[in-house]
Amino acid sequence: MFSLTANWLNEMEKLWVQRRTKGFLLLTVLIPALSALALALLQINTGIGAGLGSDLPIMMLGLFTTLFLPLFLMMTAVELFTGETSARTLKLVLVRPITRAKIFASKVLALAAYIAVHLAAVWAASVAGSLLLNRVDGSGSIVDSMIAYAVAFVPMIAIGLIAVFIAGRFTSSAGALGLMIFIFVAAKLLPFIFPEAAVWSVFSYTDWHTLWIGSGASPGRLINSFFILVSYSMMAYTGSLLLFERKSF
Amino acid sequence: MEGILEVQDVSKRFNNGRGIHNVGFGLSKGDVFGLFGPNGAGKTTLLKIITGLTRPDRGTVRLFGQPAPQRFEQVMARVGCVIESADVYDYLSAYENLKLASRFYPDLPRSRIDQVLEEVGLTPYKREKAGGFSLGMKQRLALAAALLPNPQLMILDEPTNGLDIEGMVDIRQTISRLAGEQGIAFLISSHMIGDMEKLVNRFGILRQGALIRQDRLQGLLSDGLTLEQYYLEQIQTIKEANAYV
Repeated sequence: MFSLTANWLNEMEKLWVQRRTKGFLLLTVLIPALSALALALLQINTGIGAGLGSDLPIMMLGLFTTLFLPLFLMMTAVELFTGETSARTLKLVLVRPITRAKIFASKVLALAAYIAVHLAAVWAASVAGSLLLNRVDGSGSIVDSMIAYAVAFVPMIAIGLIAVFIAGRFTSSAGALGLMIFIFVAAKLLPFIFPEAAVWSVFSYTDWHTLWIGSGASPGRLINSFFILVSYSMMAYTGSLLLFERKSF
Repeated sequence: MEGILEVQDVSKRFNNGRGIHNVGFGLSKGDVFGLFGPNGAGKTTLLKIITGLTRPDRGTVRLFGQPAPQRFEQVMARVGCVIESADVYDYLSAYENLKLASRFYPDLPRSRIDQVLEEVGLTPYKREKAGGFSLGMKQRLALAAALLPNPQLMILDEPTNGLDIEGMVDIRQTISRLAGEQGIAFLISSHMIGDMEKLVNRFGILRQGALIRQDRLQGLLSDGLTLEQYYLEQIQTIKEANAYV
């Protein structure tokens, strides 16, 4: 447990010192803040968009889980696995007193923390934006948005783990990222041709949080989709771990 | 003598047909073992197998009397190594590089980082990013990271590669001092035999994946041979034997 915590701290520190991580986090805060400002200006000047303020946290969550966060996650997974392999710095950890299973787990935990931090940052910035617009309808909408942001973690970690699985197969960061983006875009377009893909494709669940807000979906549907996401996560984790354990460095 | 490292019948074959076969040798406390051989002889592969970076097809590696793969965390806590090249995190300072490494050792005082930086002569550069370091400075930083946990076994792959004469002498002196004063066992691979002669007390010659000779240096020197002469002699003998077959 000690070595797992040690490497998790190391992975977090390595991510944090990189300019890209700080840049993405800044973007994560700026986009909701600027959106709130734009909405405020729109309301003042035209009166249009008066009802959108209270929806800002959910609108932002939709935007981030569909576009920005999967992209950030892919880049981070590439950095954690492919980038370290190609820079030959993964060896520095592999020869320390820590097993490969714990190295892998600590990297995945760092990715999970990355998702949590980004979701928290978007939520805080959008709620602050809503307050700025004076459009928060009591504590109810804040609680609703908190639930939506909390459950959004589940599809994001599933996508993150799939990105880890792909990243582990590559020695070139550009190749890994290129394939991930291709798969993500193709999977997003697939339901337009084969509608049934929306049920089994993990990438169709990026807006999973919408099922949890308002009247939402039936408990049966929530449980069913939850297990689909957990299954994808488990398959991606065990498959990646198995290959990581066997890999020669 | 305490058994530090025991390698038994280790073999590894890669897709290109190269690798190592049936390699076996051991190290005791105070040994400075030089692993010599031409490029591609399998030196790095052997060191990678010992440190768990590569799995062998067969054979066993025991460190401090324990099977290394099964007791990896326990045994590697007593090992320091620099394998293949002196890789460091370029975007971190020398001090930060060592701070990351120090987290794996719960009983290590933070002052140890400054101590090893002093030992390898990097104290004036401790706050500089490693990305701006010369190859020699990176080599020293990698050595400092290996020394950090006060290891009982140091495994160094071509430790003087890329160093200037002063750097080579420094590294040699550091290794001699650590082996003499602290009884640290060293396993050092190199193709620069003349350079290593001043350092090792035991050696093995690896050629085409096989450990063709291993001996003590003392006996050799008493025969009036230099290590380089002995090495060339052995290689020639093998070549002739192969030509005859």
